[in-house]
Amino acid sequence: MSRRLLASLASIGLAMTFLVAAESPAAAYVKLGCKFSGTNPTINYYFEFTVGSARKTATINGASRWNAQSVLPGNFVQVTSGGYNIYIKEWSSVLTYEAQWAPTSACTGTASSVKAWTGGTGELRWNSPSPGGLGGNATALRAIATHEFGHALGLAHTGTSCGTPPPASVMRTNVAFWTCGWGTEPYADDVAGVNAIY
Amino acid sequence: MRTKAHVASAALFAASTLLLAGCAQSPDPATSTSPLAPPSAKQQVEMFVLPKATLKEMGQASDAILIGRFTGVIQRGSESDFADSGPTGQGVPVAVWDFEVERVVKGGVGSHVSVLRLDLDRIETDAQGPTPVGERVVLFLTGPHKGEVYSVVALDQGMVELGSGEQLLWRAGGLGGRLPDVDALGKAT
Repeated sequence: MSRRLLASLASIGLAMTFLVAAESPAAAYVKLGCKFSGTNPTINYYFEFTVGSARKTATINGASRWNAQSVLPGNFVQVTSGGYNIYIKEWSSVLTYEAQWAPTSACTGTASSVKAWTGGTGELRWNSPSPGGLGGNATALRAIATHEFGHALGLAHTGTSCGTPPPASVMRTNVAFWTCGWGTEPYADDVAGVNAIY
Repeated sequence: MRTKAHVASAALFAASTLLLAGCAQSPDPATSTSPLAPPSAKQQVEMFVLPKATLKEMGQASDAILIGRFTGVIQRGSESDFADSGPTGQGVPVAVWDFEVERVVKGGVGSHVSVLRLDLDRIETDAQGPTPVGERVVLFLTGPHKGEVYSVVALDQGMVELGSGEQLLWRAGGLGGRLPDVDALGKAT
């Protein structure tokens, strides 16, 4: 009798384990559909003279955050002359965004069929007036730079809030995700997304 | 004959000058963009937008707040055509939208207002949703900029659809559910 009881309890425990596993946060990353060619590309970035020191530092730190991930394909390298993949500029736009990623090469890929940008070039454009009032907030600017480099690696936006849906992602937009208390970007889901792309 | 030769020389000179100017502005990209890319292809742009957290912040960021009806696109171009650009200009494709003004909550606008938006016919982005002609909206605007056009606070957050009755339907940002109707707009001024 007690064996049956134990077996029943074990079954219930097993079922609950499966239920908990099923409810754990699924991957949130979304593929943009385009990426740099190769399985482990070196991605050179170049600063236009327009980029001020605050955004330049934030950009370099954002690239370093991705490079620091040990299991991540791709490596961002700053170049001061010669060929580049990402051209970084700063301008004053009235369109009230903080920054944007704009590929300047063609790509016919989709989220379900990722393809490489044929020319392998794009622009990271900072909007220096910062309509969000970020000023020289180094943490925020670095987080946004990391976000834009996430696009360069092939990630699309994932969501617009701190709370739901989990998990943490540097690819959230319309939210100051650097204040969500998640730690330092990029997060595990972002890294998993880039690994899935390459 | 001589005229044709002059024209050809001038064209060659202009092309060379443009080529040299392009080379002087920036180093060569790692590889060039494919010249075979279809000219009709939309430019893909991913934008990071930081919304305002409260109605008060929305109001403080706005030079004008109004209720209006979208009548259509009246002009297209690059942002630098309508607003002061930085040292290297702004090539983002934009469209000027006209709104018939129904009620002004803040600012000095007339019976119609021109608003600068991303041109979704030439740009692919999730930063701005489509709006049908005839849509009645609340606009939180900054400006006017060069050419007497305004822009929207936090892109989509500052253009709020009016549902049945006078209920505000926020498109984006953290204000969802906080504003029951247009009467709350008075708190933004």
